[in-house]
Amino acid sequence: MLATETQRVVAIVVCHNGRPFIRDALRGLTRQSRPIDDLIVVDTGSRDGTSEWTRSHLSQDSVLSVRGQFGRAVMIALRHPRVRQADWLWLLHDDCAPEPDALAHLLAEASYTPAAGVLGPKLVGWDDPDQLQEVGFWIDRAAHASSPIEDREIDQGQHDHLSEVFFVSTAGMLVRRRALEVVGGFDTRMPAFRDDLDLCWRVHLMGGRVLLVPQARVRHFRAATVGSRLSRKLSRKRYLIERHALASVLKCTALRRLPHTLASALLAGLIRMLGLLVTGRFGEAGQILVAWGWNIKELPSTLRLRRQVQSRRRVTDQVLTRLRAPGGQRVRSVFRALGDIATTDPGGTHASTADMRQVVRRIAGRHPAAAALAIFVVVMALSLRALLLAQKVGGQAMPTFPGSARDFFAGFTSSLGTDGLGSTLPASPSLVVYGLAAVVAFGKGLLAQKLLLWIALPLAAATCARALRVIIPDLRARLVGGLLYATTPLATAALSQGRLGELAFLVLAPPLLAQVWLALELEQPREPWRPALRFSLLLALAVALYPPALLIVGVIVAVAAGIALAVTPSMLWNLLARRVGLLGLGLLGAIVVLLPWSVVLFTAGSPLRGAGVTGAVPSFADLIQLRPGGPGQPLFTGPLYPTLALAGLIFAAGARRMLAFWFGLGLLCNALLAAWQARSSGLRIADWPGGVLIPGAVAWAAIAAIGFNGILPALTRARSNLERAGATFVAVLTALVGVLVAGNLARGDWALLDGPEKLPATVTESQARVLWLAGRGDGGVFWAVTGPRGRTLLDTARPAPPNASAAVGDIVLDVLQARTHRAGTLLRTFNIGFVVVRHGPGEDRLNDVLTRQGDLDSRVTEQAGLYEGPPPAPGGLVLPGGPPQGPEQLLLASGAATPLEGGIPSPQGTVKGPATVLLPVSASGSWQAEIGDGRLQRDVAAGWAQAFRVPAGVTGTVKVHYEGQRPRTLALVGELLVVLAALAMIARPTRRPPPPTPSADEVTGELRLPAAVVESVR
Amino acid sequence: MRRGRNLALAAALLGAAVVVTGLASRLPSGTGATPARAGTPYSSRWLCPVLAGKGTLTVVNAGDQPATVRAALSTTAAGAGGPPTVKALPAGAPLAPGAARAIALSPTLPSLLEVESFGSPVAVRPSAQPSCASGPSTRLWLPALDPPDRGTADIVLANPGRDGAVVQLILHHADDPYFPGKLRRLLVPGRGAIRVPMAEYRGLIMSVQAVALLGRVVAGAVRTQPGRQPLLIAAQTDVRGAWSFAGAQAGAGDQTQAVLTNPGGDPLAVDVRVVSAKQAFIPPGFEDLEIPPGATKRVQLNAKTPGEGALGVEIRSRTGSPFTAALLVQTGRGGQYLDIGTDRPWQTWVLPTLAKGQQVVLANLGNSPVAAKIEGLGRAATGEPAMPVQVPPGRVVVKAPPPAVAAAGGLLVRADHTGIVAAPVGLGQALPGQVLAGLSLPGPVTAGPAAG
Repeated sequence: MLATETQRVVAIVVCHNGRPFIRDALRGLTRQSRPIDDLIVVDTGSRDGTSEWTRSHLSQDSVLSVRGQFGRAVMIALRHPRVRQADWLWLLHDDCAPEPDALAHLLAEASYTPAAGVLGPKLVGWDDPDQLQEVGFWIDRAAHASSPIEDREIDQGQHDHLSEVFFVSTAGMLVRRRALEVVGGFDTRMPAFRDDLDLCWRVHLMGGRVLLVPQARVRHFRAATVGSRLSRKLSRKRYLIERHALASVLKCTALRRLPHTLASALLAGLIRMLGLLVTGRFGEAGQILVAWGWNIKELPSTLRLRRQVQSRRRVTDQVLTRLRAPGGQRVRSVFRALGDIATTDPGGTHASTADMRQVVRRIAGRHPAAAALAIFVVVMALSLRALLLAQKVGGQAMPTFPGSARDFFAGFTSSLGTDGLGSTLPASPSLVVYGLAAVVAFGKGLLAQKLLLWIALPLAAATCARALRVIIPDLRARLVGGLLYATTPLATAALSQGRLGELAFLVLAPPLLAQVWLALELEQPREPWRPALRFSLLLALAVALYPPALLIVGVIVAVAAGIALAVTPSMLWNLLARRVGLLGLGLLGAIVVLLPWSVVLFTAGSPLRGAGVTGAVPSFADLIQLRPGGPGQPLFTGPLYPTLALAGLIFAAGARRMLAFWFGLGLLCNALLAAWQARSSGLRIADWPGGVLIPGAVAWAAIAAIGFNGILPALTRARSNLERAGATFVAVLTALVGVLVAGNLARGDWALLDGPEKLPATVTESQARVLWLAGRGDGGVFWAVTGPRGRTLLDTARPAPPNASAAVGDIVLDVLQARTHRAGTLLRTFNIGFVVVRHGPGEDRLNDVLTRQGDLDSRVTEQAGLYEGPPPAPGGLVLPGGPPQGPEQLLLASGAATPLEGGIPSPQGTVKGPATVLLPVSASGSWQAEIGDGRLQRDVAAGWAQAFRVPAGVTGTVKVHYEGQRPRTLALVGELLVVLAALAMIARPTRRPPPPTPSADEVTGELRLPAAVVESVR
Repeated sequence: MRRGRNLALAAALLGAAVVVTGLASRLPSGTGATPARAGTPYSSRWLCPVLAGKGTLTVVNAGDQPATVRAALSTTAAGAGGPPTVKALPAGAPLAPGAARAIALSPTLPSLLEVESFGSPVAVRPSAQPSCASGPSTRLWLPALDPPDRGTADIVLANPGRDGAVVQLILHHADDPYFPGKLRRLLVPGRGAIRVPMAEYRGLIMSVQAVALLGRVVAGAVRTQPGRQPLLIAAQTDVRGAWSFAGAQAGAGDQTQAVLTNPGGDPLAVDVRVVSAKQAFIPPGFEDLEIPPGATKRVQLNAKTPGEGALGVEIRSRTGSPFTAALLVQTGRGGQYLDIGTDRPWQTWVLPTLAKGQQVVLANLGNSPVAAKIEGLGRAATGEPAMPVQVPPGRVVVKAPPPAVAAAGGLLVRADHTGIVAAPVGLGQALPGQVLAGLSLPGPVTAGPAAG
């Protein structure tokens, strides 16, 4: 007698619109040679009479009604007292009809294999039992399931051997109740498809085995797969498969293997997406993206479940590799999938154009925000068409991106930047953000650059529309506000000028300010530190991408705290003070997250110092029209923005009326601040007032949303003709703005299209730096130093050392004032080998003074002027005598200067003392130089340059090296830990209990004795 | 009622906007970073195109620090494709402030003479050679280069660059400009010089425009005539709408001609104003003068003028269109020189080499008096005496510096404000102070968005 014969088996049949199959399914159950001990039918909201039919044939209390899908239905049935007594649960779909010996075979095998937690039958066709359906699955590294069965494969016993598989279908799955409880049951977030993978994976991790028992046969219709079920939730099969497979990877893979597995899964997803796009199945390709989005949204829950799984696991991933799909199987699976993609009709069915229209209309109706943003993305693609196809993007305020994603990360992690003037100051964390964008763009920097420009405004519209939730619940009003926000002259000017920092702040400012709003609320739905922590991380991101955001947001937080204090009753001040304190900590936290780079923000080389000269000086009237100056501002739309703000205030309803008024005042004050910034000669934090005006634009969008919240209902339900006329007028005005903005976007006239002027190969292929001079309208001159390929993001992301910068500035000034005729020699100490004059005001004057230089030779160029100096010295120079302290000494000593071989950071060369080794980098304690075993004395030349003294009588080969990477690496590890800690805190589930599950979801009715149930079916 | 409150709030917001607009208009208008004041140069360079022959180069330290001088003569033999021959000239020990030194020249071929100084700027003046320039240009003007019936007229073009330069010479005479085929592509070797004889264009009253089609060059010319001192022609590098001169002479057999060239496409008409020690007047002969496009004209300045002695001259285009102007002065003693003038009055002037007893002319072509001081070059630092001079508006003042001042060799004229033009009486050279004292900048120089 087998041990399992005495064990109690309860069959759980989950129904959903399975009326055509349920009779056969229940008959199959009643005809088992080894009878089941109990039966519970769980109906998940059938509308085709399944529930009624079942209730009419079974007793009423044998049928449970549950809202949800398969996993949830099983988990609710599991709570029933009779099921608690069960040893085994036989899970069946309503379209499953087991053959008479199915349970007996399953139980027999279970008795032979005590470790078996899950056993699955061989699934065969419903109408043709000779056709194989499933004999279990393997998975590959990317958690993609593969089956050994070919399409329409006939069952000839070829798979009739007991095998351990990675997972089996829930159709006919026999699962040990205890095992199901230990692994935590089904993930109730998974309605169908790969919920079985998730369950079986966890069973494996607990040490259980999953067996396929081919002698147990179950006929299966696959109603969900072929789309026979009347369920919208199950209609997007690819979406569910992708989302559940990825969630399973996140939960079940060991941390050590997770990066690789996750990367494999994402890469495989990308390949599938590409295949779908190529074959015109855009909807399905989108489903993959949406599935990833679901996983991002659900990450906190997934991480919570992951902690449970990983804390209980008993076997390593290594043990499960034997259940991976064999290589040939994976290749076959890929080809099958590609063939499937290529041969299937793109519409999925032979959908007519009218059907497609209906589909589009239905999607747009259900997801207006997604539809509007998708249209916006398409419009931006059309508008930026020339730019997206350009071979090089740059010019204006936008630097050229490095070629590959690796360059971004290398630039960030390296403690020594050799671009620009060369610097040992830490690089901006913005490189990580741009690097991640490059990773998404297949590792291509140029593609990332285009991608960021393309999605910047739609992203700003999305974040604004979402952030406005804190004051406006109505999606349509928020959507209008968000779209208007993302198409203001401020936004288009930032895009046209390639101001990535301002664009990033445009995207981040709405959620950032929303967190400030939430953080100051006295009633917090969750822990009060959460908004402050989110604020901190968002601010860190914003500051990394746009450093002036620190001061701008700091001022806003101070003002918001002051206003909150003024409007809060004194008895609640203590509570408010705690909220403000948390916000202050959030501000501080952003600085900590960005360490050590954030320290630079408070030093002489701070990027907050701007250029000292503003690029545009808009009037106050311009600023309240959200026109901060510069190219890219649409024509004619300006006055419409303050008009819409006033209209918004007029149509604001209830308590939001005062809110709109205060936002209006906020916009005015912000415009005043921006005007002061544009004109100030003192504390100027940005060279373009647009960035300072962004919070004002958010306030404007909030007024617009508040207004539209009143205008949209007024269009149909206005109490007076006057009100309706006013609402119509504003709606028409908004439409006019939309038309004008769309017209401007359609023109596609972006300043970035001009592109940067090219440099000849003699420059770009050299090892020398380039000094750029550009005259300004006010008679002044801008200068900049870059690498030989011009301005790249790496130049701008690492602050230039202030002393070296000042030294170059002095030389530039001397050249322009005709104080020297040896600019080339002086600039050579910085390894500057070329001087470029940009087209623009004063170019003749600049060329005139440069032609006076005896050691600069004019070269042919597209620029206004190009001059080549003495041969570059990328490794530095050896000068006779002591370190020169000024240009005069340098000029006199330069006649006998010899260049070192190699380049920074490890040049070398022969020297003969007394001499000075002069490196083209700013002095730092991390540089060392040796001759033989003797270390040379460090010194500073000309107030900035790293120098080493070679004493008289010392001769030999000097070797220079840099020792600053280790502290940088330690700092990066610390920075990473801080970021991870902050993310972990955000992911941490709230300690407050969740709201109770609605009673409608629970079991209804009571169950009767099982024998009677069985008899009634017979 | 509900909308009434909204309207009131909207009105309040409008009121607030008006108030804030008022506040915004009172915001201090920042001027940005201020331009840096020009400092004294710590190194300088002069480029001199020299013809074959013997001569000297006088170098004067015009700064207040000792100057280390280096001079080199670069020559490329005709038809030689190799590198130029560079000969360093003995420049001696560092020059003290104000000190002068003569360096002997004996080039056998047309050459480029490059003089560098380190520590302080220097002024240079070659004898029997065209004057030097502080930098090369792409377009130069050589006025009054009409070859005499008996004698020579030679242009020397020198290229300070490493690579060769290609120059075209355009002849501006009484009619349309003339583009001789053989002068269309003149190759000037890198760090070398060439001589271009102009004798075959005898009979033309002309000025020559040199256009560097490739590279940048310096140029000069020498016109010789039996019985007269050679005329040394310095190149002008700009065309301007107005020119000022202090080197004109009248009376006692002295004659001054205005050489005017119109490079534009429209006829040029000018207004001329002359100031003397006693009065300012408009000379006759210019009222109906019209210079056709591309043409050069010479007009006698002192035929019927009431002035005598040294004169200041201002020539201004009536339409503001740019042109070139120079004064050709022929003295009664057989001497001649060319004053290439200045585009505007300056505050300081340097007269690097002055003959013993030679006087200085200060012309005030403005409307307000100018107080000036004449001091020995390089002597300001030592506190040595300066000679104060008051120059009334619309007058010239001719002064002989006292021996204590003149002992320095070179002179520095420093006015209390911009408004004078200085020149030595007779042959000599006056340089605007900025050439030696650094250029002032109209705006600030800052690190910023310059790179492409």
